[in-house]
Amino acid sequence: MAAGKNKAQFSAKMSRASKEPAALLALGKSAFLSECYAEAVEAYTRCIALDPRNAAAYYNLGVAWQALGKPREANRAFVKALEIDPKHKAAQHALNLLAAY
Amino acid sequence: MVYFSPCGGSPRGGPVKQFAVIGAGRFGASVAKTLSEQGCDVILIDNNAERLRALDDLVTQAIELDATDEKALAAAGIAEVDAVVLALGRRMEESILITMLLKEMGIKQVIVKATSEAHYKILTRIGADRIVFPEREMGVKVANSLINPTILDYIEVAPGYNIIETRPPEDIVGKSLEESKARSRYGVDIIALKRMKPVLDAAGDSRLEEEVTIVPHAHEVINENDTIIVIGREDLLAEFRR
Repeated sequence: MAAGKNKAQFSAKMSRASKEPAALLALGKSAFLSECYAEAVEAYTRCIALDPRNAAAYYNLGVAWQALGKPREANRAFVKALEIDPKHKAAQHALNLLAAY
Repeated sequence: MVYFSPCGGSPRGGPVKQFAVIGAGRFGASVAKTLSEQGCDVILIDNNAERLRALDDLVTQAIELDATDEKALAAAGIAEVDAVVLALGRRMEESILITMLLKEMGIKQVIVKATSEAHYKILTRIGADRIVFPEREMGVKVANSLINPTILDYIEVAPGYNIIETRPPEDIVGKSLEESKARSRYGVDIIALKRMKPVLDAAGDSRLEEEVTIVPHAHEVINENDTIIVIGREDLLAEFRR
């Protein structure tokens, strides 16, 4: 019941933020902090669809994929973040850690 | 939630532990770096100045000396450390000689990297407190991880008894430790839980931080993405993971 309500609230927020990359990024971070990682992935993916050069969105997407136990998807997102911003230290660090495991 | 600093140094953790690592090759550098990261004081010794320069920032002191020279070792303050790790790779004769010197100097714990069976036998006879075969130990771990992909790491605590780090079996996911009945049904104990906690860093980006709970409460619920650390007899651990 509570999960259904949260999902509905998330969908409402998503449709309000649907044309604003910054709002979608913030919504993704909020979902991430609430441990709603699939919703975070959804928000970051929509953010990237609107703003394909957003390195922060790719980096945060990678972390959300990691939280979901999907290292390959995480790796792809971190690589993309680095392609856009080669000085993105957090993405480089995350990639190094992934490579170590 | 229980956090611990293996090297102490906190108001309740007692004095900072001190270690010396002799040999700044890949193995020695890795040991020294890990000890430093854990807050320990580390003296790194090698006779190669170039190797030491590369690691100088990572340790408390990097000292260039010939470790077969007893006086030089004493002058470096080696008698004061809690343990010495001897990581000389293929230099077997030097490793044996330095082990003998360290034991004569009264070092409490001497841990030596062995490179062959013959090396191992000699080291046991001259009183090395612990002998490690990094390649062999890693080989066994890799082989075990291939046979049992859910095992992330393991330590043999006694013959036939292990501590393993593994993903939780499906049938205990979503249950509390009490409900999992690990001890009564399987004869094993879950002694720690590792869980990734979502946080935002100073730049406002997301990050996963590992939280370790040692001896978790009976009401703690096991999540799918948790890592559990379990102790028990080898056959019972295998049964538990099925």
